Amino acid sequence: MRRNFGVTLLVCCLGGLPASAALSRRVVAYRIHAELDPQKKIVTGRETLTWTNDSPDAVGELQFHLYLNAFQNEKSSFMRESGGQLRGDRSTKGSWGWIDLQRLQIEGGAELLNAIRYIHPDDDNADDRTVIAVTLPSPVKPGGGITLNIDFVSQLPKVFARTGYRNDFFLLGQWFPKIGVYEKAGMRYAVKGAWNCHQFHANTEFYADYAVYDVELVAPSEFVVGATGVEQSTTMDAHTKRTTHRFHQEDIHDFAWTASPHFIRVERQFDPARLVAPAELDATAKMLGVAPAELALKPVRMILLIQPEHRAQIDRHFHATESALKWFGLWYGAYPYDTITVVDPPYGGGGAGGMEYPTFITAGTSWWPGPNAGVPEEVIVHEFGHQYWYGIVGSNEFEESWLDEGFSTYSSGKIMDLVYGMRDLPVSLLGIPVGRLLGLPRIDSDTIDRSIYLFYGKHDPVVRNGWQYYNRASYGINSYMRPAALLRTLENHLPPGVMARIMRAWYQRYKFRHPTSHDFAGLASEVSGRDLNWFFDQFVFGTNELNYRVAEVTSEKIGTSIGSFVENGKRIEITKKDAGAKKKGSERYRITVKLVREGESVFPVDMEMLLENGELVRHHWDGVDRWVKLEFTKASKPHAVEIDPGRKILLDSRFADNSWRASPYLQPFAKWSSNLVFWMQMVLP
Amino acid sequence: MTVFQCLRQGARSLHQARRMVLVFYTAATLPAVVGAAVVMTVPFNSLRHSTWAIALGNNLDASWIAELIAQSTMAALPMLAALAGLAGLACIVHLFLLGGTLQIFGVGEPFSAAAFFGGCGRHFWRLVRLALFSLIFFAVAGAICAGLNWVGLKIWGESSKASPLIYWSWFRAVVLACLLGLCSLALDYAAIRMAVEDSRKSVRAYLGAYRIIWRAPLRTMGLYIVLWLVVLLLLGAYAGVAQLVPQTSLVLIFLLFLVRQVTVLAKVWCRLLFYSAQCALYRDLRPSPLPVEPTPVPETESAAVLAPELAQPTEPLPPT
Repeated sequence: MRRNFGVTLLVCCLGGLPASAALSRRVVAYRIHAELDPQKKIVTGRETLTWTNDSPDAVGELQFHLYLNAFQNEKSSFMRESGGQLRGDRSTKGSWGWIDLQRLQIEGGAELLNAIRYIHPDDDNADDRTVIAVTLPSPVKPGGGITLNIDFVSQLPKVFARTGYRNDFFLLGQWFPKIGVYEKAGMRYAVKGAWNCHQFHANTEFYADYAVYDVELVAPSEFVVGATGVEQSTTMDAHTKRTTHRFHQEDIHDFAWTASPHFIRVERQFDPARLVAPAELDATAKMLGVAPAELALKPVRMILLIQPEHRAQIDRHFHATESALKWFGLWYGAYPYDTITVVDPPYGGGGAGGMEYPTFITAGTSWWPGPNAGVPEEVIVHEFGHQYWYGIVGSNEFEESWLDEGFSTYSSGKIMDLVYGMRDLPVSLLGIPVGRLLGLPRIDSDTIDRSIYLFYGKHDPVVRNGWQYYNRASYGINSYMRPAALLRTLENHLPPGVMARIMRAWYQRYKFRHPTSHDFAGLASEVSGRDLNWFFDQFVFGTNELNYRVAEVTSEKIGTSIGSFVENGKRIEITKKDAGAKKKGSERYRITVKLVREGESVFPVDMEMLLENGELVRHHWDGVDRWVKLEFTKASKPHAVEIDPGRKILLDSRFADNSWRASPYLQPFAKWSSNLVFWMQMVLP
Repeated sequence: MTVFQCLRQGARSLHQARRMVLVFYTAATLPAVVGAAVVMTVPFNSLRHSTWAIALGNNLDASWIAELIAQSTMAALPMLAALAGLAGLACIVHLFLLGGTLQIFGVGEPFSAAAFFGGCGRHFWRLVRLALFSLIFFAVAGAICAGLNWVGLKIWGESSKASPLIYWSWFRAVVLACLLGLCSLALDYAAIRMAVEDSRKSVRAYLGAYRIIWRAPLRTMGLYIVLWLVVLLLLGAYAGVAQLVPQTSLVLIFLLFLVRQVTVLAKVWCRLLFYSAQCALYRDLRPSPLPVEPTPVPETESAAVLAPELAQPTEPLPPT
């Protein structure tokens, strides 16, 4: 049975809660009651889902994600693609996970369980059961809605790929039937209305519509429960010794939760008045070209669920969360929700770490992370970044993962550098951090991103369906580090502050919407006031390499020519003797510099030439031709020539050939040789 | 003889044969210089004309290393092979020189080039056999630690806490260090015994070395531990001095290089002290040799105090 009603009205009625001003279109409303059985590792749920047809089409079919079925056997697309391994984590054989629907009924109407079809829109894997389609008895009219009652049982796997259990720790992500996104014509890349409901792949994350969630979670009373959204109430049943936790959140597109009896729950308030200095506010406002009042942040409740053996790291977790809330808020826009929950998975639960869900992130640390390695801070700031680039700006991670992962890597990297500076390499021996002790090089975000970007292999462009990259490494590099390096390169290419304005405009314009890469390219051109399509065509949609090189530098002393010349109307003769008798200091040199573009990609570059007399010569080359020959006549020989002297073009695949020196700079070679000889002398018997 | 008497005796013997320090220093330095030269061709080729070298001299940039790897993966394999070959060669040279060392400290010949290198040649293949046989014991030590790892994972692997496994890994590291130390100690005494007795029986010598350790654990292990403490003291002193000399100019680099060469000389001295002191202790632990008769000696009469397997020496025992 279908009912026509306005989306907002629908949401207002949910749970009898007062509705806040809608930030999104709130296409879906979920009311879920779920009970956790920690012994059997099962969640039993009842879901009431109301979907509103926000398109001009009459929709006769609904599609749902049943993502836990990715773990049901070796035949799912996820298992085939991943081989049971993801990010160094391995699935446990015999610990399968699945979700079974026990009822799918239109409220007050037809039972649809028999109408379910498992579909596989991305591949030809008929064994994949992560997406279902249900044909409705009658279509949902434009603007109309439909309410379904769904009963389901979710069997959890041992924690792997962001969901499951580790002993009595539970992380529940993708645990309930979730409706796909119906994209009307003109939305993103849709030319006609259709469902965008991808299967669960090894290399992809998620995409869903904005919704209101009202969820009751029942767990044994000794369990500490954390979840997406704001906890409204807890009701303990003394008889069953189980507690019902009720969470509510609007304008989000997913819901995850966690439970464990061992969590230490710590709550603190993000207080912008205390944490944002007036000078920081003014400087940011000036950079963004807005009034300081526009950057006002609001208090946020920070909830940390941390393992007892990481108790000593509580302050570090909060400091990282506060830094993220502060700088994401100042740079892009205030965090719109009231809470953020940070979950610290236990030892052995690494598969649950480093993951984002709306208002809920999982961190990841070690027993002794060391004071300067940026762990767990880097994970927290990065995962928090997803609140902005996946949660609020609703990018489709199946098709354009860089819009989330890459943006988060870029923006969290900037915060890490700003707040924590250079970090130690996170190398440990017997659980003890030894990066600093071994004198290993210290790193910042640009170094990390560029180091990994260099292996992008030219197989794939940045934008590609997540399951279609050449391999998992290509997906990772093209989704995380290459985008971060290219965004940083764009930032360095543009005048100061412009990239900050682009990113802020991206957030402000597309929050609670589903934009595309082309939207970003267009916005970047619009905000910067210059056509940047050449940049995005080459580095986001293309695969070509960027590499400039100083190929040749020569200098030749210009002697005085001998012979008969007319000077000031008089004929004079200059003999060899006259030529040799030139005044000292009046020597001139003809300097020739050849710059070569080795890669196919074109990027305008600056060249700097330092002469022996200290004079600095600058030249800008548009980089279009394969090479350029520059000639200068100067009073001194060249000492050094360098393309991109600030090493701002992180996408250049070889910094080492970007420069030329008249004579090698010996100090580093002497230092490294001395080190090497010594260590080999000490190590050799 | 106490541990410190052995040390004093060893230091005295080493002082009398101090030119050996130079021999060992040369043996350690030559492959190091060659190896470093091979490795340094990579950065030199990459950066000799690059201004990036200036920044890299201060903080080695991981992205430059990534650049090298991304663009020259194939060149890395021959280089690694060359370095592994160099390390193997260094081990062989070490075994070779060890023969000469033991000829001087163990047999007691005064140091001379002829005596030293004669000993090198005389004992080389015996020591190679001994080293190969001892590998079995080193492998057993590794296997014991792998077993301990397995036990740890069985007990705590499914736990939700990292700390038990980390403490266990510390325990395993200590066990491994002790076992490797024991194998190494036995190897030292076996080598000394083979040289002293001019014997080719590497298996018997190695097993007999354990017997020596078993019978005098405090002195053998005590001496070994004290010698290691001397080494650690030396390394600590070096680390302290090195902190004071940042390599920010060619002069400071050269200064630290000199400090390091002193350290290497001290390391060589310590290494030789291991042998000289242990030879002194071995002489003390070893029973007085029985008079060697021209006719075969009945088994029961030649039973040694420390090693019954010495009852039928294949070669006459040298005078001590």
